[in-house]
Amino acid sequence: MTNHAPAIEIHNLVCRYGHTDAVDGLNLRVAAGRCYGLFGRNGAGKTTTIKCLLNLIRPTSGETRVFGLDPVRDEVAVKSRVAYVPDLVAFYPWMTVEDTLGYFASFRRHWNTATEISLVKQFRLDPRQKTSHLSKGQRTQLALICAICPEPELLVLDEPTSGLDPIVRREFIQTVIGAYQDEDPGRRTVLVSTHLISEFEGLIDEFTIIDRGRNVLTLDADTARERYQKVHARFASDPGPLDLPGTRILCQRGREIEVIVNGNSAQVMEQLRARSPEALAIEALTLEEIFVSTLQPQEAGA
Amino acid sequence: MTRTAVLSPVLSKEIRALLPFWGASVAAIAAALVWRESHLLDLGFFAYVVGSLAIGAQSVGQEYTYRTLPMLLSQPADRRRVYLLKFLVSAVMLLTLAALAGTVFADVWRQESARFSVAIWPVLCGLFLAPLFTMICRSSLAGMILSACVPALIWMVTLAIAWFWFGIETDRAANIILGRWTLGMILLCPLLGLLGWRRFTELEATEVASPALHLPRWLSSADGARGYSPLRALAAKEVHLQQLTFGVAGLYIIGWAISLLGQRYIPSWSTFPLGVVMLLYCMGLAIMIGALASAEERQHGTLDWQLLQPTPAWQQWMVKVGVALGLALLFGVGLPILLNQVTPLEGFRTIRMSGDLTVLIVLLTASSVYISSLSSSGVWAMAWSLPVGIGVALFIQTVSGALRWVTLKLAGPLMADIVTGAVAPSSADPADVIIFAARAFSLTLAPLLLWFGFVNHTSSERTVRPIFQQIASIAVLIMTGIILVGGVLAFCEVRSR
Repeated sequence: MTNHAPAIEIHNLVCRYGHTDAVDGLNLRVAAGRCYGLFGRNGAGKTTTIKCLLNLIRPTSGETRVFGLDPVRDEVAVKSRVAYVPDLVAFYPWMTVEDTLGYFASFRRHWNTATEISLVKQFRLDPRQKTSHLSKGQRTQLALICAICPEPELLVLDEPTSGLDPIVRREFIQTVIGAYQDEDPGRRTVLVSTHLISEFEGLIDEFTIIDRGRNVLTLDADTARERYQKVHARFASDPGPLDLPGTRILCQRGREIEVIVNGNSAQVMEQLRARSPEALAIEALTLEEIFVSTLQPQEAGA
Repeated sequence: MTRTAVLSPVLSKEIRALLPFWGASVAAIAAALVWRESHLLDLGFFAYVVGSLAIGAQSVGQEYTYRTLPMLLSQPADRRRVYLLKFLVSAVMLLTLAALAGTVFADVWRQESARFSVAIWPVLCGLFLAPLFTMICRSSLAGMILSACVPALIWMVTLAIAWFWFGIETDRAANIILGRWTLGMILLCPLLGLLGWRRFTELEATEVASPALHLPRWLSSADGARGYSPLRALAAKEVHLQQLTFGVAGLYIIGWAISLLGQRYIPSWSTFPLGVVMLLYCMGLAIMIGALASAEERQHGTLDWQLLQPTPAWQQWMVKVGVALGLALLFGVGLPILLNQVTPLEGFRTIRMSGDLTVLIVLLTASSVYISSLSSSGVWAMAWSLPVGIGVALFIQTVSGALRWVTLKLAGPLMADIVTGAVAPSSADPADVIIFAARAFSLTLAPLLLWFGFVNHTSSERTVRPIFQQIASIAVLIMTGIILVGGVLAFCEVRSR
């Protein structure tokens, strides 16, 4: 039964800290085999949502399911299929890298030692070094190895690339997460919460933007790129105020205008062509631009 | 990368996390066993109690200390099994400690009926109460302190009830209640264990602030400090770091109020060893305040950016030390004196509220601040303070022994007794000389400890060499102090001849 269940299902999740609503009626559905992005500003409720999914925090109300299972009632069954890299990575200071890997391996039935050796080598970690002597980036690398080696069905990453240098970050995203998913594409799911949206651009299949604990936008990445586009037009003379319904004008300076369209590009292009522009171009927005334009329309338009 | 360990990594991790606390307690008890001097036995027993509570608190508290709770709870392991393993490891350690303590302190606990109770209650508190309080407060140190204070208060209340309801005399009631109380605790343990187990199965890995004492806004709030100088903001922050001190002082006031009522209405209450309780409170509070000062900031992860604020590090340290010493003197000396002035309690007659207590509190706070500057958390600093104290006492004894041996060879047995303070010089009150010398020595040692504490606090370097140099400097100062006191006493004797 659980084989066909979505990897993650969240219905009306509410999580309150005192008077603060960290998550306020969030809904989410992540199909198995997808790489799903959870985007939001600081304090939007991303980490709280993830912690509710893993039974690290009890939600005030709402329902969460991982592979159709209740993370509270079926805690071990859920966690056997999940690996998690928290936003603040910490290890026991007396353990070496090797001890730490052994420690986390002991919780798992399956552990890919070949992957472990290869990643330790790739990240240039010294197995005999104590974790207390590792840099922040190295600790994140170690946490990632601990998460990847059990080859879980669901990999939950909370700001996984913070602290990594650009080379390691790119290497990690492309060769580690990408390769991890490619090995069993229909089965392995990744849920990634990050600010560095551009780094994950090519990897994300679907995403949700949350703000103040609520869904603002949920879209398939390809659909989002088709829907959210930037149109740039240059006219022979100042076109004056333009009436372009369903768009947001990014900037209008003299003869040039730049607007963002949301699913109505054909209509807008038609309207602009009617004014005989000297140049007219259209390009898809990146996920980061979609994120910014969704959450900061005023500032983006300024 | 082979995985050929004798113990499972999970089990060895639990053992490794608690081993330093167990080791420190065993070392303290063993030292007391070897030297068998009354003050060392007292310190050894105190170390046994603190060690037991620290082991209990750290069994779960280590995950807070090292911030590993999210990683641990996200592993596919049944939480009940994880807690059971923690429980079993701490149980083995606590029972071995209790067995050792039972052997060593058997002579001290004269009343045979009380031996089992006295030996077993730290185990029960460490095993069942400390983890529960640690999870409630999300702090090992708070769990450790509360698991000591709460049963002590309950015991006093039970004692009062025994007299009021059943009219049993206090000393007799104490014996009866100690036995019944132990029995009650043993019966209550499954319930407490169940509560702890339940708490762990529902434990949340959250950074939300734990239940805290709310200090007056003008004293504690960052908003309130905005309009003031950075030093005032620093002082407010330091006071907030020390909020556990306020809690312990509050519990002391409650205990004192119960004693006051007991003294007023129960004729035999005066036999209750209030002086000892007060001394334990003063010393324990001084150690706790020092332990909190530096290590807790390190544990919170705020030390580095705090030091990078545009206020000189020495000023920050002065504020820290000033608040620590101020609170230690206020609550460790001022509060007992004030309460005793308001209504004197019988048991306090045995304790001299003099400058000696003040010097002792200053020295203990400074020592604890120094240990705190080397520790990763308050509970570490607290647990290591007593074994270190015993180590220092043994060192003083050894140096005195060496001084005596040298003087014996050079000037005969009488002068050897005089330089070690065993025999008074012919003219001069040796007590005055020793007290003066001890005060002068303490007042020299305290600044040195605080200076080394400052060096450690502002440096993230934790290599053996500088710590060894510091310890060697402290040892040299102690030796010099002992030799100087001996010299003064010898001089008094020579002059009188």
